[in-house]
Amino acid sequence: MIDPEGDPASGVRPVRVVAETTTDAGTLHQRLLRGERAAAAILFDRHAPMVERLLLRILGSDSELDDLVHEVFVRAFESAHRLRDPDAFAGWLRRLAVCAAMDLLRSRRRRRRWLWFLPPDEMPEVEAPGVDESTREAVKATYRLLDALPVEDRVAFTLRVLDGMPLASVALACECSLATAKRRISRAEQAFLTAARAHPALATWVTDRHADRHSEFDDRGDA
Amino acid sequence: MTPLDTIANEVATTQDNLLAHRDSLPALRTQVLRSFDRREAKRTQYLRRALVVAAVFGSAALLVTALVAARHRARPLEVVAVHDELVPMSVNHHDTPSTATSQTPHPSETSDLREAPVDPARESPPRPVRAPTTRSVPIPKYDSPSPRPIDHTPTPATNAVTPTARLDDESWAQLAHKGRFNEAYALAQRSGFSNLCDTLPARDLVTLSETARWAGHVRESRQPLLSTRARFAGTAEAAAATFALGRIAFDDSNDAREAIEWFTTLLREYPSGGLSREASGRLVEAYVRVGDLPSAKTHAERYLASYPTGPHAGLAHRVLER
Repeated sequence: MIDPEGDPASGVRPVRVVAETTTDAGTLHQRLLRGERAAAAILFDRHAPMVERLLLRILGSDSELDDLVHEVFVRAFESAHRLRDPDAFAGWLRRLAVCAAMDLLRSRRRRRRWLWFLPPDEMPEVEAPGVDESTREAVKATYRLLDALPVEDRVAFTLRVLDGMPLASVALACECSLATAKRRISRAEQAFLTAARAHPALATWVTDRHADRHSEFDDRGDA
Repeated sequence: MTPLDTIANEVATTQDNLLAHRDSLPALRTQVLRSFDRREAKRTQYLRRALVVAAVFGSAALLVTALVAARHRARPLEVVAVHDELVPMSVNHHDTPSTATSQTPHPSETSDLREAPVDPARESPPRPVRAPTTRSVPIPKYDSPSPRPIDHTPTPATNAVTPTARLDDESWAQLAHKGRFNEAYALAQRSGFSNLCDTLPARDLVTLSETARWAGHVRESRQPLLSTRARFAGTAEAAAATFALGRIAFDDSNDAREAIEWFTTLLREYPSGGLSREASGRLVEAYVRVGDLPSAKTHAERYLASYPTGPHAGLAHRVLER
């Protein structure tokens, strides 16, 4: 839990969070609409880890991850008045995060298209302690392959396969129908596996035994 | 477990491991809250500005409304008059800009009579009658031929007024001529208003009606006019009184139906009198006001046939276009 007293060194006014876990979503939402800073702090404390994890899943280890988390919360606080059901705050925040990630990926793609002569963005090193070199390489390779997929397919795939999100939630987060979400995941899965078999860092993970496998999400019980 | 699951598990484990060792959320929290503060400050600033702008515009709107209302109240009934020595009665003539000078014992006082806008769709509430800033202006000369002979000779009733009554009448009439209508009306009441209605000559009856009207007693102002109609039937004064009754109903009582009756009566009794044109135009207005469009169109056609360039011609055309 983040210290609710804030960061005195930064000059930001300390916020005392009282009974943070017991404040219900509706009250928090009302307080947020009234411009109460403490409500914003509580909402950040509650949902920031989820947003951070979600963006990390979609983007991988990315230098703009923190900026994006910041942007998601700023967007959320600015447009909190549009939220009709305060209990749906988490889902709404998830959708905002997905939208922000998709915007970032699209803008990068546009930049690559127009500024093709510049060197490509290098994936930052995965600095997770206790992770061996081959796994790090595999993770990096995974996101490099995902970069080649259409943005919509990539996001649906990462939410479903890497984050294990239920299909309905994927469709909701991607603002598409369930059928579209399934189609995107299936398409991304096939493209990813094809590319992974040819990639040295992932070839060992994707062996021939995968050749006759069925679509992953069909076996998860919620298709 | 499929190879894809294996990769997914590895990626998820690696990233969870990474998340567990990341410590950027506290700093992010500070940044987010700082952005929130800035946004709130900006919003408060916008709100304050919006309030100031709203207050300024609201005050301006109130001021303008008050000025318009004050001007509307202060303006005497739109009157255009043509002098007639026999009947000093003011009459509305719409869309007829002119200036008339009183030839009464107060020659220095003139009335600047301007064009009155005609808006038949407007349902104005009964307007309190205020004393005019200048003297009321005499009515148009009633010199057109009429199916009923109009007798301009003094009636026996005029001659029947006793010298004593004459002296009292002069005192309230003098006050009325000075524009002190409230005092004049009070004095007339003390002298016996009904008695005056029964005894005064036609000209003074009109003055009495005007006095009551400007003193704010619209209902009482009808009595001298009704008396004029009863006592001097067939005369120009009776025609003017009929028109005045219609005008009071139309303008002061906001009773368009009663106005229709009086104007119709006037046109029936004095179809070619000097007030016919104005009564015909008012009739169109009154029918529009009560929402009787077919009748309004009928009278509009009649009006245009008789007075194609009359002051109500524009209104008549608009009514026919509906």
